[in-house]
Amino acid sequence: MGIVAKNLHKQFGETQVIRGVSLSVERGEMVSLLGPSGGGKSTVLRILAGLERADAGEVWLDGNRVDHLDAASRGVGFVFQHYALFRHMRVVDNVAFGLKVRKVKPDEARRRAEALLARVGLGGLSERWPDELSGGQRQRVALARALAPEPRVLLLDEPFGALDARVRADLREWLRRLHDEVGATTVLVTHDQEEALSVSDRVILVKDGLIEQDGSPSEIVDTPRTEFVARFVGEVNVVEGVVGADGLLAAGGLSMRIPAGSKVGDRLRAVLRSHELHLEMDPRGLGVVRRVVPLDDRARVELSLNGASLVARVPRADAQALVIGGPVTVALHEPARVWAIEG
Amino acid sequence: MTPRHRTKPQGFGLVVTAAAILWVVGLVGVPLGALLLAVGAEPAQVVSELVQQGGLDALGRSIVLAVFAVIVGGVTGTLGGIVLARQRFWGRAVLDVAVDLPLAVSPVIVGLAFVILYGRGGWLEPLATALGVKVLFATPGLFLATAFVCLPFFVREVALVLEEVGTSEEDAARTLGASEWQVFVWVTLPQLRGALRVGTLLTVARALGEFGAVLVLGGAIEGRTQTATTFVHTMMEERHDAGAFGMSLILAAMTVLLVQALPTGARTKH
Repeated sequence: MGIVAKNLHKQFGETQVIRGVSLSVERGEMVSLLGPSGGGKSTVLRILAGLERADAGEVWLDGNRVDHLDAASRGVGFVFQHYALFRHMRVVDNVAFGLKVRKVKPDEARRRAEALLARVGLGGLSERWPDELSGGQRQRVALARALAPEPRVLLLDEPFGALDARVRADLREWLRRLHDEVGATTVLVTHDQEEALSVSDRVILVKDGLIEQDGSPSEIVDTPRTEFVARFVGEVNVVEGVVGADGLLAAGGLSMRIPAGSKVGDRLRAVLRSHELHLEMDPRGLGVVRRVVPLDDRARVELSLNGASLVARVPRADAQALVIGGPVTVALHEPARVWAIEG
Repeated sequence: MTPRHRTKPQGFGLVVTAAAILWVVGLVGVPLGALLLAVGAEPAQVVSELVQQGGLDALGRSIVLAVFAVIVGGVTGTLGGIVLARQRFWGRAVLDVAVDLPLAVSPVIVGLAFVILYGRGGWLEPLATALGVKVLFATPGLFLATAFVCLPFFVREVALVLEEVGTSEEDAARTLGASEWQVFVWVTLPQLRGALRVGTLLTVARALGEFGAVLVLGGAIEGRTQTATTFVHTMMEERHDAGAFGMSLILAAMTVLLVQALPTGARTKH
């Protein structure tokens, strides 16, 4: 096993930032920690790296317990959101730093640093200063620097968070290819669900210092375990209603099957993902189309139904038939997910 | 980089700009010009009084004190700045304020406090006697006074820069396998280059210009504890105006050169 963390706890002042996080990452696997800011995912990463010490819990890397070791002794590559390049060193010296520390001979260190720079596509830039590079180039230098000592584990803390959407999308594909070539066990922290789903073998959702769900991208998308996960990985509608005598939940003019364990009269909240709604122009329909936004092969439709606002994602072809202000019937593709309200 | 907007002054701005120029010229330029004229009127007299009344000796002592202040301040101030910027401990707020005290408290008062400490019956008098060191009206007194008034400069500059750059470069070095000592030498110190330069210049300027504390602690004894500034004072009292003018001009010229050596940013910041 590449990385194992057992029951980590961490408190800053009065705040419990991590409240019992356990996870494991296979050797060579690429896993994302996904969640909203302030949820504790970066702290988990810093604990794995040895930059923070957990109040309780264990960290194992490649079968060795390391929580007593400082960051310098763990042999872990780390990439920071704001690059953290050494601004007083040239690009090549930044990349060679981890080799210099390990007493690699200067010309050998330089040769290896140049080779790594070429590999990350920055061949001609080794004599530049960090502040002469674009954000995307800086982050690639940071990655080359982290990879230079050939770490078994690579930890990335919101590595693309400070970049434009376009650069971010390019870099994440590139990162995935690099990961497959290098083979280091990789953990990526991000708040961008698209990033997490598109590059990782597995996604771990972290919220309020706890793991909300741990699964493959398709498990997370297709079978979100909680309302939070569903909301985080997709566009959803939340409707509230009561279970009727027919055993169906009537909410917002829709009726749907109820989850096991609920009974007639229960007040439930249903989470309907936007692509689960089916729309059809119909003079007797109770919904009203408000707005149609074309996306690539689908369209995002905003509509109102019995006073509630809903969002649907439908194929572009279906959207062509919709008229703004026109009546539609709203139906559900089964199975819609329904969650009981807490408390 | 924040953009800087400098425009040609207009209207009310023009009035304010003119007032500012007049104010600075009146306060700095005119007196300096007067000094220059006074020296130019009798250059031979100025040189002879500087040499015969012990002016060169006093100037040399001031320069030694300035070098001492830079070395001591540079080492203790760098460590102090790192502690203030990086450590969170009980009493940190008190230390933070205490560092600035030398700027706020009049040096004469500070000198007096040291006189009480090391004078007859003072708390530290037995210690000094046991060590065989005479503090008051002797060289150690001058060192004490200078070290005290120069305390804030390095600490402030270092702490400010460290708080600005944060810890991520240091953390990056740690994850790359650097020991704490390597982190300090290869990452932290290079970040402090500018801070140390500004700290040095401010410390030299302050050490050269200090008057009250060195007068009270040192006593301005010719050939022993006379410094450049107390020399000016003594010359004025003894009606050797030419010597006083000469030394003043030398000190003013050195200060102007120092300020010129400051990076532009630091010049507007302080």
